[in-house]
Amino acid sequence: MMLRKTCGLVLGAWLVCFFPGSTSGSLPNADLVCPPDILKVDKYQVLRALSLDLRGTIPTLDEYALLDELDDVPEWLLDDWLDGDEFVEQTVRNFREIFWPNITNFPLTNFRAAFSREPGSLLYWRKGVAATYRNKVIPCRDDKVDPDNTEIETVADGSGGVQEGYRWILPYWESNPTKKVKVCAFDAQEALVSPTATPCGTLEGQKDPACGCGPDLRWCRYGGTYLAINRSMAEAFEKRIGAVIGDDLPYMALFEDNRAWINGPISFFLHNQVGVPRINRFTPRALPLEDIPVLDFLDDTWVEITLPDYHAGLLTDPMYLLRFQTNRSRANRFYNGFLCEPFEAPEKGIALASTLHPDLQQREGCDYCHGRLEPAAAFWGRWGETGAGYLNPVDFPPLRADCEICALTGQLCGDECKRFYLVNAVSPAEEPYLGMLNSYVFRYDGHMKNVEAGPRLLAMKGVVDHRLPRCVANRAAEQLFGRSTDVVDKEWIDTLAVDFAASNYSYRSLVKQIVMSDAYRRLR
Amino acid sequence: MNRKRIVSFGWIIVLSAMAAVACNAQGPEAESLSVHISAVQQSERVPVSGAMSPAVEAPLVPLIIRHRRRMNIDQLDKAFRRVTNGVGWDEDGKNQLEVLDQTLGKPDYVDVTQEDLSVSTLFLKFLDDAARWICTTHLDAELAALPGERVFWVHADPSDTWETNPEAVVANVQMLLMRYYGRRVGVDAPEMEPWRWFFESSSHVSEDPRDTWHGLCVGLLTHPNFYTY
Repeated sequence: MMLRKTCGLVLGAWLVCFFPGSTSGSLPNADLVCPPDILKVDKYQVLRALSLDLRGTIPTLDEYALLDELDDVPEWLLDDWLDGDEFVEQTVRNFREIFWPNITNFPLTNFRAAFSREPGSLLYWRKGVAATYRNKVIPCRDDKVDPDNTEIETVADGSGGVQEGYRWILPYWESNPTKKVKVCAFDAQEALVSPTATPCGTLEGQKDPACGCGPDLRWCRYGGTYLAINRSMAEAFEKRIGAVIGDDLPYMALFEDNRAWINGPISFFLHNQVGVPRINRFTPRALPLEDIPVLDFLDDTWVEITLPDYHAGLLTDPMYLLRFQTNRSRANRFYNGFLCEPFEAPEKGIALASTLHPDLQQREGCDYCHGRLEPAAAFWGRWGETGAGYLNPVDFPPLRADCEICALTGQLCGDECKRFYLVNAVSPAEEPYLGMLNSYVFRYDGHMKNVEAGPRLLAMKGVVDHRLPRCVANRAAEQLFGRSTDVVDKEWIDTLAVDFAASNYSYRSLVKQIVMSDAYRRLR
Repeated sequence: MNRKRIVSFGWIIVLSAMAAVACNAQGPEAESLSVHISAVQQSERVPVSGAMSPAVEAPLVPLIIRHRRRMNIDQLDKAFRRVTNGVGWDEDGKNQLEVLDQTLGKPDYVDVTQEDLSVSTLFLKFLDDAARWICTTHLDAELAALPGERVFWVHADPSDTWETNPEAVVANVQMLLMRYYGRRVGVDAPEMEPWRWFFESSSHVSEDPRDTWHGLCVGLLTHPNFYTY
């Protein structure tokens, strides 16, 4: 009996030795446990790993057979794969870890502009504005109106409401011209301007009973039409990454290259639906309307455009600005993704603030992160929060007279002042900044330039002090090695970063250097 | 009784010593990082006096290594199609890996932002489902294809068994191990034994050799050598 137990004990010890995956760090005899084996993989396994990392799939039999007479994977094959579209696709996929490119969880247009249909009914109508038309939240009658009659005639419903009939409309989201839909006549109105001079394709227009959804219902949305727009924005964003990587441009082009792509849904949105925003606003426009090609909503072709110089590549792309809606979150993401410096509290925690200073850079405890985060967020100071608009320096100077008057007297308080300027000080410390652009509030002299320079300067600073190339090298190594880097890797990562800079920031060269290393051929 | 205990205790010591020796007898590549680091620290303590320093063994530096990891769902989908000449888990006309991608660890970047590449029970369950469906579809297509167009039965016939045509079966298994795993396995290599055992065992369960080949296909797709790298 005892012997059996003994054998079991010894067998257990042997098992620990021969199954290196078993963890033993928490055992009291951890120092007696064998370390895991490190396997030097053969050329075929290297080829398989390379193919999965660079192309996202395994090699073919013919590709394996290429190696039969060779000692290792030939460099020309590696170059071939790095030049291919599949490598671009893999790299774009890897970038998702940084950018989280999904903005499908919110429509960009207002609820007033949203069509609905009751179960079993074919009538399209908008609940959000129904009371404006019919005194009650009810749809129209299922009676076709006379198409020649420009007046909308209503019939009382007997309980305080009125109802009109419907018109047949071919909506912008329908490609088949025979598939017109029944739209309540008020909602189907096509006037561009109401008799009271309200532009109909605006939020104000949505409250005017003489305004509808416009020609082909262009100012309104139905069901998942907004998804096509939001998904297109994410796709356009990734096309920009793909273009930089595919052309093997210097990595910095991600923050400088102002080539962008627009398809039907994006073009349609920018031309027709920016005026009826939900929460996120695209005004003031970051791109002149005349520079946006006019495409049909259903047009899935991509048209390349060049953005104005004040754009900063991906960092001012609508997808980035919408995914990270505040300037702090935009800076935070950049610090995480490209400088590998997350804003985290120290292990020992942060002391509670004895006084709540309104400037987070000075508030005790908060200053630990916000001392860096506030000036970093200022780089996006000319990009609207909760939206993707651009505040040009001419129309939005650091101190604007009407906004200062608004702040001091309560007069001239226009929408722009309320949205972008400090017009209400909640503490004496804010009073010196009344009438100033929000991004200038609590800015130190040395940080004022951040607002005007934009996020491109932030990226450049990361290059100059070498934090960015080191972070890029570190991330690439982690992705290709399937693990976090640690102190053992530090010197190697430093070397990679230096070589990355020496290659004019060629991401392809960086990846090549990593996968050609001996380290890539050692597997645990 | 006491004597027995003493003898048993002696066995514990002897066998434990054997185990410890076995641990230490691992190859040089298995040396722990702590050993390497201490060696480096030791080398740094060599006095710099201008005189010739004592020789220090060169290769004692921390090893930088890659970790074996699971394919992500997109890689798995492409790998399925690569080995089967285009057959994926397209059950009910839909790619089930796309339907289940979030369940299988693919982030949506709204609620989940980190890819889960763990080999979870859930992953293995769906991998098994996928493998069975793919192998049924794949082998049906293979049976319908001309021999020259096949990618599964390249060196063997569907009716071949280890007993009736061992050379062809071994050659075919070798080819499949290369196609699925990228492993060049010799005819008499130890890695061939589990597959030989599988073939022989399977023949006791079903008399139809195609069932054995189907089992082999599922085994190939659900083995860690396939879905990790």
